[in-house]
This record gives sequence, C-alpha cells and structure tokens, in this order.
Amino acid sequence: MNRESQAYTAFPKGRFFSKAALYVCIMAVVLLLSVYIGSERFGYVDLALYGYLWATVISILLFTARIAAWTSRPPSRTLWKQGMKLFASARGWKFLIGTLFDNIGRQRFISGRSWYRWGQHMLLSWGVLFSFGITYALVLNWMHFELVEPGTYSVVVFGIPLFRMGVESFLAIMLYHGLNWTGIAVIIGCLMAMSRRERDRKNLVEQTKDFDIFPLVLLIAISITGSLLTVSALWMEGVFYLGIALSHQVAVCVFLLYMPFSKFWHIPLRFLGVVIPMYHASYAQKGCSRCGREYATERQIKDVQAVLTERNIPVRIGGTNLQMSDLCSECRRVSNRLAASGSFVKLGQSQMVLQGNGFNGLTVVSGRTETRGGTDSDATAQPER
Amino acid sequence: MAKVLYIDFERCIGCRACMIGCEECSGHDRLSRMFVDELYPGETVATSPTPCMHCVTPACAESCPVQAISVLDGVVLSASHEKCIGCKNCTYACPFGIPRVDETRNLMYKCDLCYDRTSKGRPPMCVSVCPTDTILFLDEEEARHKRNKPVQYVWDFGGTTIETRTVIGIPDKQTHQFGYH
Amino acid sequence: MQQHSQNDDFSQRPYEPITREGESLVATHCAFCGMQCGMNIRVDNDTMAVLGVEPRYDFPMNGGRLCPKGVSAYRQAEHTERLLKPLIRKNGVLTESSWDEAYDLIVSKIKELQSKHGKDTIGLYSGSSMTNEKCYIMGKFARIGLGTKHIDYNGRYCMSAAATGFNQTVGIDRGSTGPWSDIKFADVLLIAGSNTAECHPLSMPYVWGARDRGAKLIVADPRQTKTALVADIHLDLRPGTDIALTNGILHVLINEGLIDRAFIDEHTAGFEALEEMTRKYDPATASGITGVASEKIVEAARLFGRAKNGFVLFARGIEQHSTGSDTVSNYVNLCLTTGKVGRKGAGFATFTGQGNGQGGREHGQKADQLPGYRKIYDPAARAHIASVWGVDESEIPGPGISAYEILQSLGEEIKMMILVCSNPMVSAPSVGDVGEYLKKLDFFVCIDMFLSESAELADVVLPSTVWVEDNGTTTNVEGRVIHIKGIDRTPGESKRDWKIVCEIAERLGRGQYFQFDSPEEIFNELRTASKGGIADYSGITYDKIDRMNGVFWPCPSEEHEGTPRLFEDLKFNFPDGRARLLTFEHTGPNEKVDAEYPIILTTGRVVFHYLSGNQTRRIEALRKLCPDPYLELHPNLAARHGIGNGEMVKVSSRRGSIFVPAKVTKAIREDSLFVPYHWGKQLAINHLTNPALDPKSKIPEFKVCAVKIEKAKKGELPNGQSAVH
Repeated sequence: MNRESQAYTAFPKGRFFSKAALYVCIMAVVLLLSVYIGSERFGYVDLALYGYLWATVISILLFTARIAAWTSRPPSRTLWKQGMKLFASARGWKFLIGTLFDNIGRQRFISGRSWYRWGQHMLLSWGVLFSFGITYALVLNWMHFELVEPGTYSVVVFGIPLFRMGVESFLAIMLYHGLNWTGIAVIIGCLMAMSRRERDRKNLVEQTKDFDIFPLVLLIAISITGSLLTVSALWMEGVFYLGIALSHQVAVCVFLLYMPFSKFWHIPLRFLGVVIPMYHASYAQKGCSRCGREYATERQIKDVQAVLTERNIPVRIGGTNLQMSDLCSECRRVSNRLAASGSFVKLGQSQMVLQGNGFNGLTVVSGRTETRGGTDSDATAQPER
Repeated sequence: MAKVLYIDFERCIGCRACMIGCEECSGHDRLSRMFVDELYPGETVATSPTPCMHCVTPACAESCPVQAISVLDGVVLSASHEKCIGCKNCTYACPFGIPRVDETRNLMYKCDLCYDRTSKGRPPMCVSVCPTDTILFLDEEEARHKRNKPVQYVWDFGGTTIETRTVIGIPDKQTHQFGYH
Repeated sequence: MQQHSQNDDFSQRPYEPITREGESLVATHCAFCGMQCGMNIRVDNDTMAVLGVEPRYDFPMNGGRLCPKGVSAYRQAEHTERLLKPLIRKNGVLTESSWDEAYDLIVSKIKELQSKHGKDTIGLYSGSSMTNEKCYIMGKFARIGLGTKHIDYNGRYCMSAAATGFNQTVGIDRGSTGPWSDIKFADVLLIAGSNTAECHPLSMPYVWGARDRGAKLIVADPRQTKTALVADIHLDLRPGTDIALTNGILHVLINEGLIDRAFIDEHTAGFEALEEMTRKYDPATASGITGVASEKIVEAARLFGRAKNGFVLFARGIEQHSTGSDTVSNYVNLCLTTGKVGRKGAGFATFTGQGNGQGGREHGQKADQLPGYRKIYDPAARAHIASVWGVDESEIPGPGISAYEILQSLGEEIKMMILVCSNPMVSAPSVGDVGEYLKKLDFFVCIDMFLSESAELADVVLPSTVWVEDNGTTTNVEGRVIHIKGIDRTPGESKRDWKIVCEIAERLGRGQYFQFDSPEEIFNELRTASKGGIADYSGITYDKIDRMNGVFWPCPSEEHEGTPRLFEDLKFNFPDGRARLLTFEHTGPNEKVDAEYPIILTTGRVVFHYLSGNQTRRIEALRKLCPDPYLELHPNLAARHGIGNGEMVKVSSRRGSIFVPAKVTKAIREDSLFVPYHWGKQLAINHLTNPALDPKSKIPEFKVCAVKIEKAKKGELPNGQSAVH
C-alpha cells in the first residue's frame, strides 16, 4: 500500500531554471531588506533564534523556487494571469473578499465533505497559519518588544512603535503565549485527523504513508516540544529546557525545509483557489457545438485550448477550427462512440457533420452540409449527470 | 502484466449497473465515476458505458493548474483532495468527457480503476457487476490484440496522438452480431 | 469452492470476494427477480449494520454480476422509512402501538367475523417474493390456522398463465425445461414478450453467450428492446396477437416440412388438429392480424425450423392476456413440433418475474393447490397433506378464488383481508376499483416492511423484516432451489413474516400446528409435504444446497442430485407420456380499439424498478435514474397529437386516466403506447388497465387495453404530480 503516486509533472525545464533563479534572487534581496529594516539595522537580532532565521530564509527561497516552477506550467500561468486581472476591477475585489472569506475564512469547501473534517481542518489550518505569522515576524525580526517604562512594553513592527501594553496585561499574555494557543489547536486538529485516518483506512488511494502521516507527526512534535518549553519555563524551573529547546528547533527546521515539497504545498494553492469563482462568473457562457447546452465559459474553453496547444496536445476535430472541448462532456463521449460505429455526428449548432477519421478521431465530412441517411439524432438524452 | 479495462459497447444493455456499482467501491465516496450514454436517443435503444480511458499523456493532468491529478502505475487518479481547487479545466480538456466536479465539495472526481479492488487482485466494480461482460478487465496485450475485433487505443485527434490504456472494441459492422446496422 | 459438474457451463468467475476488517460477508441472493442472483452482503461485525454489497463471483447463475437493482438491493435494509413498530388505525390515523394490542385486535376481529359470517369470510392475499418457507406457511395458515378457503397470491398476475399453459401442454410446471446454461447452446433463440435486457438482465450472459457462438435471434415484441435491436428478426407485432403470430409460424413450419415428424408421432398427441387449424393462418393472414410483414414470419419460421437446437423464451408480454395460458401453449407448440426439447440447447422457458415466482407457486398458497404442486381437489393429495399437518382431511377447505376475484368480493363474501408481501394498490389492474373494494372491508391487516400504497389503507400494519434478515430457500427461474442466508437481527420491533402468522395461530388456539423455531424446521416439513408431488423437494436440504450451489427439483431422495433438465427421456407428465399439441384460434384481446379509444396501451417494467416499486422507489440511486413513469410513443403518433418530447400527456381508458410525460421514440409501434407500471396513486398506469381475466389461469389482461391520448392542458395537472413515492 506504500507505493507512491507519481505526480504528473510536466513543465518546460529551461524556462524554469532562468525564471526560478531570478525570482529567488529577488526574494533573497527582499528578505534581507526586511530583516535589515525590521531589526533596525540589525540592532535587535535575537541570537537565540539564529538557527530558525536561516531555516526560515531557506524555506521561503525554496517556496519561491517552487512557485516559479509551478507558474511556468501553462495552465498555472494562465490561471495566475486570470487572477491578476481580478485586481483591476472593483467587482474583482468584492469577489476576492467574498471567496477569501468562504474558502480561507470559514473553509466552506470542506464543510461539504463533513463537519468533522471541517472542525479538524479549521483547527489545523488556523493553528498553522497563525504560528507561521508569529514565527516569521519574530524570527525575521520584523517585530519585537521594547520595554519603554517599567511595566510597559512597546510593540515595534518594522522599526515603527505600533502600540503599548502592560507587561502583565491580558493582551500581553495572549501575545507571549500565542504559539502555545496555536500549538494546542494544532495538536487537537492532528489528533482528529489521525483518528479519522484510522477510521477510514479504506480510503486508500490518496493516502500513502509518507505523504500523509509524516506531516501530522511533525506538526505534533513541533507543538508538543513548543508547549513543553512553556511548561518547563513556567512550572518546572527550566528542567530539561535546553534539550527541549534543541529538539523543538530541530523539528521546526525540518518542517520549514520540508514544507515547500510536502502536503503543506496546498496552502498557497488554496489562496490561488479564490480566483476560481470569479473566473467562472465573469465571462459569457458557451453552448456545446453539438447539442447547444451551455456547459462552460467561452474564456475558459479558450484558455484550456491554448494550454493544450502550448503543451502540444491540442485535441482537434479534423478539418474544423474546433477542438473536442467545444463539445460538452456527454457529446464528447457519444461522438467518439458514434464515430466508432460508423455513424455521422451532426453538430446541431452549425451545418457541420462529422465522422470518424479512420484513426479513432473525428473529422468533418467533406462536401456535406446536412445529415441524410445517417443514424445520428439531434437530441441528447439527458442533462449532464 | 498490467490489466486494463476493455469496453465492447455493442453488448451494452443500458442497465447502468456499472454506474451504481461504482458507488460501492471503497474510496469512491458514494459518487459514481461511470457514464452510460444513449447513443441515438429517440431512434434506437443503443447505449454505451464510458469509464476513464487512462491516457498515457492525460490531457486532464496537463490542464490542471495545481498539478492535482497524478498517475499511479499507469492509472490516472482523481484529483488530490487537498490540491484540487475545483477549476474544471480537466472536465473540458479531456477528449473523452470523463472528469466531473462535485459542486458541493468543490472537488474533481473520476475513475481510479477501483484502486481498492485492483490492488487486491480483484476486478473493478463496474467489471464485477456488468451483466453482459460489456466491461472486461484484461491483460493489456489481450485487450489490444487478442479479442478478435478491431479496437481503439491510439487516437488521432487532428494530428495529436493520444494513447489510452483503456481499450474500446469497435462494433462489428460485417456480421452485425450485436445489432449496429 | 469446488463447483458441481452441473454448473460447468454457467458463468461463475475465479475470484474470491474481498472481506474487510471488522466486517463479515453473508453469501445470499438478490431480493428481486426470479434470476435470484448470488451476492454477498457486507455486515458490520459489531453493530450488524448492513454496509454494502460485494460480488459473489463463484455463484454459477450470475458469477458476481448484478443489475442496478441488485447492486442497490441492500440499501433497503438500513432505510429510514422502514416500519419498526406495529401500526393500528386510531381515530382514522395509523398510530404506533404494541404487538399485544395489535394481535388482540386482529384475533378478536377474526373470531368475531368468523362467528358471524363463517370461516371463509377471511381472505389471505399473499405474495411470491417470499421464501418457500413463508409461502408454505401462508398456505397452511390459511387452511388450518384460519380455516378459510380464500387464499391466493400476487403470482396470479405474474406466473399463472405460464403455469396453466405448461400444465395443459406438458403436464408439469417448472419455469424452464433446462438449466439456464442450456440457452448458450441453442442455435436459435426465440424470445417473445420479454424485455430480457431490462427485466432479467442477468439472463443476458446466456443470450449473448448464444450470440457469441453464432446463434440466430428472433424477438417478438411490439417494442424495440435491446434484444430486439440486436435480433436477426424482430417480429414487431401488434400487442395481443401472439396466437395468430405463432399459428402463422406453425403454418410455415408444417407447410415447408420443417417439423420433426418422428418426434411428433412418438411423443405428442393432437398434431392432426393443429395441422388442420393452422392451415388458414398462411403468412399473409397472420401478417394481416399481427401487423408483422409476412416475409418476416416466413423467415422466422425457417430460421427456427432449420436450426438443430433452439430455445423458446417468453415472459409476461405473451402471458398477461385474456388468452395468456393458450398463448404459452402455442409457443411451446413451436418446440414440440420441431422436437426441440429435452437436451442441451433445446427447450422452452418462461422468465420468472418475482423473486420466488417459481417456488411461490408450488407449495400451496394458490387458491386450488396444496404443497408439492398438488391439487386441492385430489383426494389422495388431501389425505397426504392432512397426515403431514396432523389434521383430519375434512379440516382442509376446498379451492378458493383467484387474487383479483378475492379483491372483487371484498365486503361481500370476504369481510376481512390479511395482505402479506404484496401491494395490489399498484399491481392490480384497474387499480381505482381496487381502492373502492378495499374500502368495503370490515377489517384489513397488512404485513409489510414499508408503508406501501396498500398498507396506507389498512387498519393494522405489522412490521416485517427485509429479505436479508431471515433464512430460507427460494426457487429460481430454472427450478433451482437456493439458500437465502440472513443476518440474525430484527430492527426495532419488526418480526419475520412466518413468526407473525405462527403467533397469530397460537392466539387463535391453533398453535399446535405452527410450532416452528426456524425456517429450516418449516423447510423440513415442506420437504415431507412435497414428497411424491410434482414439485418434489424431499431430497433437498440446506446443506446440500450450500454444497451444490443450489439443487434443481424434482429431487426425490437425499442421494438424488436434482434434475437440471426435464424430459431428457422425452416422457411428458401425462399417463401416456405424450405432450399435448393443443390448437388455438386467434380471438384477440378482450378490449379492442375503437373510434373513441383508438390506441393500444401496453405496460411493463424498467430495469431500475421491481414490481410495485415499494422497495425500489425508496432507493435513492434507482429513483434518481428513473423517478417517474413516462409514455413511450412513436414520433408520427406524437406529431398527430401535437405532442413534443417531455410534454405532459393525458392517457385515458374506459377505467381511468393519468398524466405522464411523453418520451417520443421510434422504439415502439405507431399504433401502441407503453407506460411502466411501478408507481402508485396518480402515477399508476394500472388505473387504465383491463381486469378481464383469462378464464383458465385467471391472469388479468395487463398487456392490452384501448386508450386515447391528448396533450395536457395548462392547469389540468393534479398537484404533487412528481415522483418520490
């Protein structure tokens, strides 16, 4: 059961290397600048977090490389461009905020699967996202606390004092222990996820072990060692503190370096996903060239056809400007069968008639503009199931 | 040797047992991944089943912006739950009209050749239940050459060659044994 | 499992089912049609919940293959609409009550009405989708539990014409003369009045198997079914003209010398009369009556006559007519005149519609029958059964009346009815009248697992179990007795049907005759009761069934391995051993088309539903694929009435009307309409059908009635037209 599925990855190699190198360089400079500004010219670098800093920087650069690789694939680039267009209109922003709320905020896509999974995913995702926020901010020295007067901290972000709070205030306690709260959420989420896996062990196909259990174990390890640090410091007078700190650091570093290539890769994809509702809603519908039923947007069909052409697998209908994607799914299935049976396929939306091309594809019947004698009928049987 | 689906659609009686049977396979989430279409509605009662063709170069995967569709031992799988963003590109790219997107869960799903069953040496559910042996699970070699029938597994779509692992038997137009006049 | 050699030519496959952790498989059979396909039900070890279905690859009949009904049959077991407590009508509303209250009420009503009106005032209307054990116990319960002569069953609408036809022609009624694998070895198949692909999909491996071997296929059907589409000759006859068609074929066979003279001389009686009578059915005459081109009749006769081996298969399409049993005999005549019987690849069979349509008609739940296919008016039979039951022969009542006649006499001779495993409010002809009849009852008890259209009208509804919650045997289309294995559970307060009647008998003071603790005990009594009868089960045991994957009756001793093929010695079941070649004139259907009602309506099944749909309409997967009935009509007919595809049409006969959407298709004759019958209330096409009965078998004429159609006007549609139940 441990066979690993091979991701179907095909992207142009040459373009990838030049682009990736460029983006990684840019990102490295941006990071350096941000650390420089955040730490007020390296004045506040927290040396205890030195190991974390390097792991974070490398992790971000790897992420950048992966995104670069990914956007060099034609379909991803197309969707990326569509996403960029969103920012050009007020309607786009409205959509964006709506779907951000739906997909990331309340994660509606997963409540459709089950409420248990929704709860689990909410705990995990928000736990991890907040942890990232806090970790990046501290490790990259974007934020630090300054004791401005006894009993009062000033919170400084990118060198700008943002607000002040009492050392023992509720807000302060929430902030210091931020990582503990998110850690608890992650632990509960992980346990829920593991028990679900145990229960549904029959759903095998996707869940190969290293792709699925390892990330959960890693998350639990980080959360538990992190929480133990607090336990050790607050209640146990620092017993084992050094050992715990070291193991926490190792776990976090492994996590950061592993992240861009693991299950956690889906986090940026989810953010890309917010583009989709707008993409589907913004363009005119297109009717199937055979049965006339609306099944997609004009734009998306054009995009898909361009993508397949760029990848050198356009699925054309011989002698026409059409591709198979100009037919709805049912008409594609039926047309292939009709051609195999030697019947004509009448495209109801034009005067064209198709037949098999002798090599299992479709081609236009030359010199024919209407069907007579063929056994095709105009109708399709039922709405798409 | 790898086994593949073989469809001899002349034999199909349109009962749709394969569609309901498909729901029974573990890991299919009670969603049927099979299709049965009427070929000449209103004219004759001829029907045909269509499972995934399991292309060697799957257009669905090529068109996926998030690389959610993977291939396992030559079987094109459903989109990964965590990656799929429900964009529907695959449903349009597929020249055989196979992938679907479940609107409530915003997730693409398609035939995975009943991984649960085939990994244990049993035929997929559609093959198990098909009353007429329209859908068979055969050694690839046998499906392509030894069924005594012209078959389709290399498709030429206007100059683009797509090879599929699923093999389709072409109706016998000489003897009309199963009625395709 | 090592297969018995009897199963060599069947369609089993060499795979083991998958058993999953925490689950067990129950190797049983489908709840639906007479094919009784083998299947495994997945059961949770801890909760006994039914989880799903797993193919039973080693069962010979279907080799794990299933139709859509079979795949989803298990979904009724955990269905939310199951009845879990007895219901008693209180202030007009069916209210959940206790078993004691229900039993007390039923028993007091039985006693009260019987003392007032006599024993026969109670009617038992049972069904053939039950195990042999249950069918047997129903007959016994009626005769010596209730002491009434009035018991009959819904198989009257289904198998009775075939039964009568077989009995009058070959003297024995087993649905098929040979094992189903024989079909594969036929050189020609004649399939008449059977939409095999939809109604018995698991016969298709055999039909297609014959086709793969090069067999010719002749299909007689007014509709272009999938089998007709493939046929070499499709005899697209006008509904109700089968006798003329077969007479035409016989005419050609005799005229062209395609008959088997030696066989006729040695093994049949009555040929001269047949020859004489069919003389006037020359192809042109037959063509004029049937609407089938005369060349096709000649060609069909030649194909059939010249083939060495051949099988004739038929179903309700030829049987549900006022001449149904004679039509059956006339189709059998085709085999008898050409000597096609008693060997591999040659014979005749009827497709059993109900799950236990075969066994259900053998063991005494028919009005005139005692177990083992004995006649209730035969003194020797009565004496034998009286001794098995331990009663005096005079305690066994005489013959009663048939199912539809029972319904007609409700409120008159019959004041109280117990309905078991049946739903006449959907399945009976002229169902509007049936509703009126049922209202006239003093007291109406129904035993069912769902609240069917009929149960809704009952005074007391008792919850029974689904098929897979009980053990027992059924007899499939071939005459193979098989073992239905059940899960040991009874959800809620539901009880098994046989348990319910035994408990009622106990309270009626007749408990000493109904001391059974398991279906196997009932079966053992059934074996003794059937011993020496035509349908002899005495050598069949549960163990033997499991060992042999089913045992074909007759099986007269424990050493006997059953009888897969009848008439191998060419001796037919008459004293002289000769089959009867009976002659029949074409008279046509009881109701003929006229100016007012100019179109023929015929009804039938779809692949997604079973009988009255009480089970299948509740299964979502099936309901989604076929939610509503529809009207099949030819494009030319549709055009004449200005009806487009999908538009609502009002179909009316002299008895009633319904509204259905049109499905315009060239797959039906221009003078005929087709509507499937699985729905109740305002969707029931049986509002229109003709209750005229075949005088011999009492089967109603479901397959032909005269109707008219008109496009539905706006605002004319009744509310709640659409589907669900």
